[in-house]
Amino acid sequence: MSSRLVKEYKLIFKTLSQDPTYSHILSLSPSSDENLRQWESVISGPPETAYYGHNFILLFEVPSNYPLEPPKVQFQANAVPHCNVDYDSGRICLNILEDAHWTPAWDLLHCVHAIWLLLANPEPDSPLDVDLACLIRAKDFSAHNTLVAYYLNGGSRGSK
Amino acid sequence: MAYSVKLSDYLDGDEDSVILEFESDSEIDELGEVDEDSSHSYSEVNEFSDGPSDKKDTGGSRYLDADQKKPSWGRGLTEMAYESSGVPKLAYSCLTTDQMFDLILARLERIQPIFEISYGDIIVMLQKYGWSEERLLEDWTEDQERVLVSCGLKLATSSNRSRGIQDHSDFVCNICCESNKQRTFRLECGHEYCIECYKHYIKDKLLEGKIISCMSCSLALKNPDIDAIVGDNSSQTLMRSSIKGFIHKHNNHYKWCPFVDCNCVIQVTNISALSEFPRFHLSPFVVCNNHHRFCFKCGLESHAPGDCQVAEVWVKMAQLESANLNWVLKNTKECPKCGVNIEKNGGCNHMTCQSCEYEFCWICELPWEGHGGGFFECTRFSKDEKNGATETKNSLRKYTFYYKLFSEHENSSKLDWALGLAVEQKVRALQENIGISWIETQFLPESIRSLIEGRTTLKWSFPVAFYSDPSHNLTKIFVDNQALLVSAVEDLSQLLQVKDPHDIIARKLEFYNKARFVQSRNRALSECGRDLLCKRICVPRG
Repeated sequence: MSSRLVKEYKLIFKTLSQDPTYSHILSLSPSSDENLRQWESVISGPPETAYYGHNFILLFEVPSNYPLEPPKVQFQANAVPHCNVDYDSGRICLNILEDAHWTPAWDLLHCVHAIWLLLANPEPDSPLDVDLACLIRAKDFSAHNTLVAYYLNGGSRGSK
Repeated sequence: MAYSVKLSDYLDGDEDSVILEFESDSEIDELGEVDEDSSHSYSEVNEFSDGPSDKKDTGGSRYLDADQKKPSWGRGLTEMAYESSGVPKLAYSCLTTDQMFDLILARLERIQPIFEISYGDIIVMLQKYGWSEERLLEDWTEDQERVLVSCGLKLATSSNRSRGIQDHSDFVCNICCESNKQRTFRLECGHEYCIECYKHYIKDKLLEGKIISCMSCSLALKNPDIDAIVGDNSSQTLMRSSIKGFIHKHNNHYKWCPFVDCNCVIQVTNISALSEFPRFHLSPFVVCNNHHRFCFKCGLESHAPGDCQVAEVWVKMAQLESANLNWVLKNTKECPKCGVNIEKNGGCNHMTCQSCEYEFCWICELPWEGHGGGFFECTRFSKDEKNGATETKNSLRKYTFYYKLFSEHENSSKLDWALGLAVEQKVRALQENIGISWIETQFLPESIRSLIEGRTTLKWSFPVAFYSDPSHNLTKIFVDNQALLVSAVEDLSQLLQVKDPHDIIARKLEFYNKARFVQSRNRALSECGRDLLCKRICVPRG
């Protein structure tokens, strides 16, 4: 299925340079020229959120039977404080990235876009970071945003 | 010969009927008559009841005689206990997933006129509604349009595209991005992909048991579409997995047979009866079409004479302790006389050393002589074995002793299953070599079933003995009953080792008698164990 990845690569290149709706995706390309299975992407924090003004790195691992199986995506470790992201590993909890919800009609660009939307719309009902999820549930958004900003600006995670 | 014919009638009905309703009494009564001419002597039993029971408890003779009053062949343990306690009978049927699907299809015939749409569409809707007709009908009468759209049977906006396999000369598939594709598939939504990609996609989803939809939207693929794309009857697999999901969701009414590779599902229709069982320390045992007996409540194999609580506490304890005991449960033992390593490869506990021809009992490793008589010493936990150690050490020792027995019998029953398979071949050999009918060879599988059931009861009688107050007279009677069943089971097991077909036929009556004896001892032990539980002499504690 490597022709699919080649085609996606071309399409992504075209879309990112022309389509302004994807301006938040700063880059999406294979990590190296040799390996088409490792991809990397940089996205900017969505406006009007605590993430605004920061850039985030996504790491992709494309399985051999892609697109039948979803790609494995995670943030760079120890970089993203978000209720659906495991801070220590960068693991992301997002339903479309699971086998059961994935369909082959989606592509890598969809994934990046979906993750960007997740940054702006945290889902506290399936949290990987319970502390942040609790703050959202309690509707204490100022505390949530302050905590996120604190981590993003280099604050330590305490005991971890 | 009326004997075997009647018996086979019963067995026939048992195996052929799709829905195995609980035994009908008339058949059983017919079979009951058979026992009149079965010539097995009960003298051994009666002698025994004179023994320990005349001390203070008259209960003993009751257990020992119970089987004489109520002779029955096909009746299981629970069934007999129903009569004595007034617990309602469990109404159940044994199905496979295919049969369940057939039943659903049969019901579809009835409800199709209500919907006035095709079967394939109704099946998709039923999948969406977890096979619940009631919920579907409710929503359907409220808003047909909404149900159709939510099930992916209709597009929200109308479309004039056709569904199905399309032929092209040069199609570029968006999934694999390969060009020159000739065959494609699309639904009314117009999302079109090559047939190879669709095949992969469907095969991935078949085992999930959910509606398979278009790769780009929620429009559903119906069973004929799936079969057309994959090119075989793959939709069957999807239906099977969907029904499996249904069974897991409704595990109050349905249970999978816990035996390995058995695909039977038991459906209990009078669920309310289940709550009556624990009061009487009975367990709702059910039998699947493959003759596997298991408990509908806890899903374990038949654990009579213990109830579910005994089984649960025991299994939990065994899991905790098993690490300590693994060394005890090696598969080989040294011959007590010459020390050569012996592996047990048959079900019987009567071992003969190949090297020095010493005969001994696999369980207690004592000489076999003395085992053949009234009862086995090796089912008794001898107090002499405790030697002034601390109490905890003693209790572990006691537990080890019973656990060892438990697992010995577990291993033996596994070997009995293997023996059962060998018996099947024997039956075939009998038919071919001697030219006797299938019906007349049925005493062999019947004997195996008695043997396995006896072994299972024995196995689970050790947890009951472990949790019982050893000083109580009833416990002693229980242990004696155990010994009798052990001796009966070993006897039968040994008989089943006979290989020569002519010999087997010649000893047919012996097979019947020994199997019958195992059954009656089995019932007596089960009832006695239940009494221990009812009288709170046996109290399982974790």
